[in-house]
Amino acid sequence: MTVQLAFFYDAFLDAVVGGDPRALGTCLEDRSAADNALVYRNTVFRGAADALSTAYPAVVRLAGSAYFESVAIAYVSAEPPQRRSLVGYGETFPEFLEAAPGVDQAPYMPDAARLDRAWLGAHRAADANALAAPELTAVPPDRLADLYLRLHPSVRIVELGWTVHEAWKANRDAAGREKEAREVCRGRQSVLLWRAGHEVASQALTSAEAAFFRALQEKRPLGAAVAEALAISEHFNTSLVFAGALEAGVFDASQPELDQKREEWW
Amino acid sequence: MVSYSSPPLPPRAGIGLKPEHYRAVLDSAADGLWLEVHPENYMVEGGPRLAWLEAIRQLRPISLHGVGASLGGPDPFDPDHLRALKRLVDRYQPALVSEHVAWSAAGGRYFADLFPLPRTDEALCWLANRIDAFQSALGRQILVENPSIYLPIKSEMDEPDFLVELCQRTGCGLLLDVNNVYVSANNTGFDAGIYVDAIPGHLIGEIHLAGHEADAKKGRSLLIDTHGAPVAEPVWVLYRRLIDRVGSRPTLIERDANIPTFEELMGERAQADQVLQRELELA
Repeated sequence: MTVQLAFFYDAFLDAVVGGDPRALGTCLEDRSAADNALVYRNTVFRGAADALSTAYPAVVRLAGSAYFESVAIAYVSAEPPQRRSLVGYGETFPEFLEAAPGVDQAPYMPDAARLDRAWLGAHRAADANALAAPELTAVPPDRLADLYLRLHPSVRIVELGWTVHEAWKANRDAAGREKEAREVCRGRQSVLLWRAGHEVASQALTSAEAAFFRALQEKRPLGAAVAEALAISEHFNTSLVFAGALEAGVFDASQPELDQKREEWW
Repeated sequence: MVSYSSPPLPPRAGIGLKPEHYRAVLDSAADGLWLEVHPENYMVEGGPRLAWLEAIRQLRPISLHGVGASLGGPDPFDPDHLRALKRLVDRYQPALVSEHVAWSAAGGRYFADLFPLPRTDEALCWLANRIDAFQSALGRQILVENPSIYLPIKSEMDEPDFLVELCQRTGCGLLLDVNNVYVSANNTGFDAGIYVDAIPGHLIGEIHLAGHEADAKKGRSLLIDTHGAPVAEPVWVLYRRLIDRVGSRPTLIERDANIPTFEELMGERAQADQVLQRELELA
């Protein structure tokens, strides 16, 4: 009897995904070999779970690999990969973690996952040079407020409900010192991540700084961003924050609006 | 964007490129070394991975060995995957592009594994049409790799006949994975030597060598193509037999798990390169 392709696909998936090898057995020379489908079942799961642990290294370290593995099993079956590349698989993992059993033992875990996700996003974002300070010297001071400045494509701003940034940072790589989780407490924290050269950098922001960068990210002009920040804290030091961001490479070297306005000014 | 001329791979030994070895590869003075990557690992917008590959590509030829096309699968080709692959081909000008005689996606789900197919006329026809469409979309010939088989699927023809027929219908070439032949022969009971002898040399564009491991439960009756161990001795024997017959072909040492140091991997690579160099001297 010839094995029909459509039947084979279904039978194979029944065995590998559904764990039921009966139909697959009818496609084989030796029915008893159907349980070899376990090899595929393991590889499929392992591939996705490994991709997840690669994407969320700080969560693996903070949660411990046994707990991570148990959540990964549930995640891979609930939200299996769809795109034809496992790089970036697990986009929804932080939200999934929120509802995972046992996460209340370490409720800051989803926030650590949000930082891991943002790190990966920054790491593989489009390439762009960073804006150099001299590019801005031509801008007349009274025009700065109207200026819209594009952030580097790698910039991510993450809003957290736990102050997990330091603990996350310490747990990002195997060389890092594991921080006691008791240093993490409930409280809003905003973190800026961006890629400078080949390295992803991160920095916790004050509420005013966060408002400033968020406004820029929402494509609002510099003056409006400063106003947002000052409305939150009158101590917001515009020139210090701006110079620091410029120095750190948070702005994109390609600034079409700046080029256009420069022509107008001349 | 840098543009390269795209010469064929040298008939020498290469290695699968791993991020752990980026720096060592860039600094290596090894003669004739070439690199292979899974394009799926480079389907990102930017960042260090692409920059490393760019730097390495400026010094060495590369080959793109895809795992996500699902040539034998029921789903249509994924347009995002094809577009991303095409972008990589345009940017890096690989000497070779290869894929698998397998399927890896169905019903919108991606399994990131290489599933087998029955070797029937129906499957042959389906695969041939898909390879044809894939080559047209990429605008170039691809090589297709023989799978490692864990299931004795009822079939109408032997694998060598199936593969040769695929090449004849589509103009694609073969990437002959000698370890896969050994593993499949062990698992489903055919003679690996006869298989290897049956593949016409002119169809073989590249050879893969990798390590396998015995299944934890079933032992050596079920060998798994893990790419997690050094190439086994009987696989070397098959490889030498193949090269003796067909001459030198670009040969890759594949390692995807238990990644050894660069020096260890290059030691294995030197073993394959010796076989190839001796054959070149004889020729």
